[in-house]
Amino acid sequence: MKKEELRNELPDFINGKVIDEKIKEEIVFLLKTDEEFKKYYDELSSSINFLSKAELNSPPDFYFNNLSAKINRKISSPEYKKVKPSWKKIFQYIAPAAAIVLIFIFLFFNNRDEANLDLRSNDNIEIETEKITEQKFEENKSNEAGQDMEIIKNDDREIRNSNSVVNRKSGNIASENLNNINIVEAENETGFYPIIDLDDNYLIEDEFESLPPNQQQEILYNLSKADL
Amino acid sequence: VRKMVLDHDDADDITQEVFIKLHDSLKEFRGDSKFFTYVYRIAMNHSLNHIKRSSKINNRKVDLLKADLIRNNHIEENIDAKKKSSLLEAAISSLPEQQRAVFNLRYYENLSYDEIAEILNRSTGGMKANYFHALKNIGKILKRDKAYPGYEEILDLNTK
Repeated sequence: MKKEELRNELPDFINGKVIDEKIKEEIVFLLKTDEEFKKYYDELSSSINFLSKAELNSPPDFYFNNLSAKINRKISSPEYKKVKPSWKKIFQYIAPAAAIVLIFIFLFFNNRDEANLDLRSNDNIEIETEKITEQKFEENKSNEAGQDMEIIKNDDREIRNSNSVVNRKSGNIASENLNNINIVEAENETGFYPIIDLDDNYLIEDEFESLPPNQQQEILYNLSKADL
Repeated sequence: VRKMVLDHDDADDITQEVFIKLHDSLKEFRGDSKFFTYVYRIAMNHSLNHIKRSSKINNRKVDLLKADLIRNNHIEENIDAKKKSSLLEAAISSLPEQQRAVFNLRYYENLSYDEIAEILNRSTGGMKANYFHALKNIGKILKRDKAYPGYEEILDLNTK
C-alpha cells in the first residue's frame, strides 16, 4: 500500500478497527521509520483522545417522545396538504406543458420572421434588378441615339462632300448594323444583367474595309471625337 | 442531524423536514440501497443544505463559543464537560461540510466507509481521506485557538 493510503488508515488503527494484519504491520513499520508518519499519528491520537473525553450536547429526554407526534401533526395539517399537490401538479404537468407551448411559439415566430426576411430580400433583389435593367436600357438607348445622330451627321457630310450614293448606302448599312445590336436578357452569373449580343456573321472590320479610304478616315476621325 | 447542524432548534426543524420528505418520497424508493442509507442520505442532504445557507451565522456562533471558552479558562483551571462539549462544537463547526459529514457518520454513527460513500455518493477512498483530514483539522483548530489547555497536555503525553 502507498504511504498516503496507510495514512488514511491511521484513525482506524488508533481506534483498533484495522483488522488486516498486513496493513497493521506496514503502519507499525512506517511509525518506526518515517518521522512525518509518526507526526500524523501523534496529531490524530491527540484529537481522538480529546473526542473520547468530550461529548456533544444531546437532546432532552422528551424530545424523541414528541418528535413523531410533531411530524404527524405537520404532515396531516391542511396547510401542508394544500400546498403539496399544487407543487406536484406544477412540476408534473403544467411546467412541461408550458415548455412545449413556449417552444411552439418560438418556432412559429422564428419561421415567420424567416419567411418575411425571404420576401423582403426577394423584393429588394427584384427592385435592384429592375433599376439595373432600366439603367442599362437607358444607356443603350442613349448610345443608339448618339450613334444614329453621328451616322446622320456623317451621311449629311458625305452627301454634302461627295454626293456619292455608295457612301450613303454604306452609311445606311452601318446604321442598320448598329441597330441590329440586340439587347438580350440572358442569365449570367447573377441571372439578371442584360448583355449585348452581336450577330455571329457580322464583322465590322469587313464592313469598314469595304468603305472608300476618305470615308474610312472620316469615320475614324468621328470615332476619335465621339468620346465613347 | 443534531451533530451536523449543532443548533437544537435548527436540528428539530431539519429532522421534521427529513421525515416529511421521507413520507413524500417513499413511493420513489426502489430498494436499490438499504433503507437506512436512503434515510441518512436525505438527512445529510438537508443538513448540508442548511449549513450552506447559514454558514455566516455559524461562523459568528463559533467565534462566540471560542470567546466564551477563553474567558472561562481564566476563571477555572479544570475544564468541565460543558466546556469540552462547546469546544468540540466549535471545532466541528469549523470543518468543511464534507469532512463534517464524514466525521459525524464515522465517529458518532459508527458507519463503515462503504456506507458513508453510498450515502454521500462518493468513493470509499475519498471518505477515508476525508475522515483523516477531519481529525487532523480538529486537532489543528484545538491547538491553534489554545482554547483548551488540556489539549496540549494530551498532545505532549501522546508524543512521549
